[in-house]
Amino acid sequence: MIETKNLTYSFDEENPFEKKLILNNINLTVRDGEFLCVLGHNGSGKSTLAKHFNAIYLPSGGCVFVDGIDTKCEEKLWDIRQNTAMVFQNPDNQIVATIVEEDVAFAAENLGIDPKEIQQRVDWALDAVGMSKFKNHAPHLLSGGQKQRIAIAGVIAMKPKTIVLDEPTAMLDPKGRKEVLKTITKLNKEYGITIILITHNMDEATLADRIVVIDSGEIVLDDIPKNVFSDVEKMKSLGLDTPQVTEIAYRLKKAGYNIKSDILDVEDCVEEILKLCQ
Amino acid sequence: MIKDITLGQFFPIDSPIHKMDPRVKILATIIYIFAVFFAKGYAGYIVVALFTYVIILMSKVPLKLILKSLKPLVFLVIFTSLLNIFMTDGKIVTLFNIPLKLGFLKITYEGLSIAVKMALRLIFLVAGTSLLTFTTSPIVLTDGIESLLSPFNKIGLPSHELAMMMSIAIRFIPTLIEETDKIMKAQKARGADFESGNLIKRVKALVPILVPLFISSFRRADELAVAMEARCYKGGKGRTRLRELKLSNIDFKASLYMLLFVLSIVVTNIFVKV
Amino acid sequence: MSIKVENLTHIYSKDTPFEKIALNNISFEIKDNDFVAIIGHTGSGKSTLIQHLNGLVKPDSGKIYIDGEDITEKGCNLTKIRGKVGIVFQYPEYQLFEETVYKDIAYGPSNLGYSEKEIDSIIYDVIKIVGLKEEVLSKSPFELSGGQKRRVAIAGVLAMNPKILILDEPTAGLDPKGRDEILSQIKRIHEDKNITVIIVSHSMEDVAKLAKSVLVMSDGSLLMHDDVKNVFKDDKFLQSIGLNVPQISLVVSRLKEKGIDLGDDIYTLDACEKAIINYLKGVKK
Repeated sequence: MIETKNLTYSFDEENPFEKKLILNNINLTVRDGEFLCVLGHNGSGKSTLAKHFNAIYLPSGGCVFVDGIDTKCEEKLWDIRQNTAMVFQNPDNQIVATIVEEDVAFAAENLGIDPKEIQQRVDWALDAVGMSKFKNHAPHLLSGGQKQRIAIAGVIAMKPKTIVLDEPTAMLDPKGRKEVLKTITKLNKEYGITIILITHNMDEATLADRIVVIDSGEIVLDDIPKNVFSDVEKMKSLGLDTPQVTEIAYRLKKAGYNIKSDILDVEDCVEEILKLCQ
Repeated sequence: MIKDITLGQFFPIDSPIHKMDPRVKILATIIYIFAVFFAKGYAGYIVVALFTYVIILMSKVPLKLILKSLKPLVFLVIFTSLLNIFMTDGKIVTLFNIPLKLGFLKITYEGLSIAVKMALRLIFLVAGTSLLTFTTSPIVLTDGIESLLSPFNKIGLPSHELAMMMSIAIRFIPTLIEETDKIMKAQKARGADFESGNLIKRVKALVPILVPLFISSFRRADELAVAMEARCYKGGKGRTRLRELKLSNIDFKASLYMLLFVLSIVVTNIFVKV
Repeated sequence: MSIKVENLTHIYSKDTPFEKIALNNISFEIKDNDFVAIIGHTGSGKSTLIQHLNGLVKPDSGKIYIDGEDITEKGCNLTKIRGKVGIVFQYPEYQLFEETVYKDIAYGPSNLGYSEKEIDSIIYDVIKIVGLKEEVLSKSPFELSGGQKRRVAIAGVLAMNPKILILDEPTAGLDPKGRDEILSQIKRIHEDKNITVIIVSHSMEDVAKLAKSVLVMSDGSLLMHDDVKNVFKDDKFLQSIGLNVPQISLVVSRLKEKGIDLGDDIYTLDACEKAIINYLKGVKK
């Protein structure tokens, strides 16, 4: 479980003396096994928040607890990072080794695990992300989606409880995006790993159990996807998209038709329109 | 094309030499180098040549590739040979009763002999050491170097960090080549011309490639450092390896062969005075 | 300015075991002042194709005519062609290198031999078109935000005064707001300056919103070259070659299967809303 209590963070790269609030009084609880999406436009503070979950950043005010451990506790730093793993945006800049298998082993090696066990974990992790076939390949020859799955395999080899993914699909094509999302969903549903997905893409957010929308460093919405997206007007004012079908339903409702506004997929939308036609 | 640059010259194939522990291979290469310099007469050179040939056969690396790696050597060999042939004092060679001598240039028997020996030595050295890089992947090679340097940790040599830096550099070579290619194309699309003009103009034309390349490399380094820390990297202390370097039967056999090789050179040096 | 491509073929690593046909006998023509989208999955040959259009990559066979001039001929002045056909690459912000935004935008036109006075007036012109304030001209490009950097890079290509502007994934990595801003600027460039625009995009929603015609590529071949409405009509075909279809197109085609025909050329939100409302009004009557 991850908990933030009155989390505040201020920092200004260009002018360290004139502090700017990047995160303001964030109170958030992520339950074990949950698939949470943190949604916000670029510069909303969502990536800064993500980096607090495994002590890459430490709060300027308030606290972050990972399974009850305060992230400020230096002696527990490596426990926290093993517990809450992180995958980043650019797949190229998180690959360390020249062979897939060795890259996946990197984190487990750092934890000082016995070589035999590392091999088992590597095989297991590659299987979980569906990349066993590429065990002996050179990572730089793989596609973006495959590289990102290798990065995910590398962190699950630490056997973490939670994986934080900081815009993992921003640099991928639609195919790579689908591969990565499928992998994330599988890890959550089949292996019970808690997922925190940071994104500005609404299609991805609809997959989550819960969405937290961040704007100017504050939580402005915290609800299930259907409820979050049905407020089309609010999402637009926050600089975010809603699925096209949600917007069609919203527009029809605004035009005076009796239609559900919490529609997320095409089937639902077609059904509702058919109802109107009768 | 810039993309065609290959990574090192590792030739991935299954052979007893490929299977050897990198530490043993590195040490064996060092011993080989000393042996080449230690061999005195032609008999010794024949032993070295035979040994080198057998090793090449065992490694299954095509002889063509080895010969290709000798290519850059041609100029050096010719240059040193000419120097040795003409500048060594000794008994002047006579051809059809005409002594081969012109001013300070002269051809001596001693000169010819030294020239041949030097040329052979250079060829052996390059063939032997390139066999090391042909049969060992760059990463395994750095692992070997790390392990061999680890005794010097006590006197403050950061062997793990050195090896890690080397392997990351190797890892990023293809990424940076690809990036250079992209930036070059982007600047060409903006009308840049890298091919014409004098030297100063050409060097200046590189600025629009190098600045973006440096900036992106710094960004990559920064992101990689965060990603490594997030994956619990805290230096070499307490770290285990997926593949631990372990000596196997092959390595003991190889050591034995090396010993025999050195002994036969010593023996030829003592007993065969050619 | 028109583009004509005839039997274009490009092969990577020719005569090696890694030989791969990147472009396979492609022919098409793009008329003056068109807005074209090139769609296709990664590796379908889109990027290779656009790099041929200003001579960055040479074809193995085939001809490319820009404004009637064959750019595959040996004596062709490629710098001049690159001034006519501007390419904005993916993540163009990574090509910025000068100390100031002003100098960076000036790089292209000065390579083409424009005078300083001309360049000066061009810069003030293009900076406005991409929606940036004049204050940024004296700043370092590296101080700007991601979206601003990208606009500076686009301005740098626009400053060469191209008659054809090609953009490879101009919205990659931008959030919805940044994406909408860049797209509306591209639309404005197309309309105000009468420039032929070609965009490569993975986002079918963007293509539906902007393009007039579409080139569909798959595995190095050109499968389709048609008006937007005809391309999005066939959602099954697009999905069969691994492409997405806008949700709207899916809704329209699903409704048609159920016996509700809203019409053929509906692929944007506005059109769909209108069509449904009209249909419902008809039902009530």
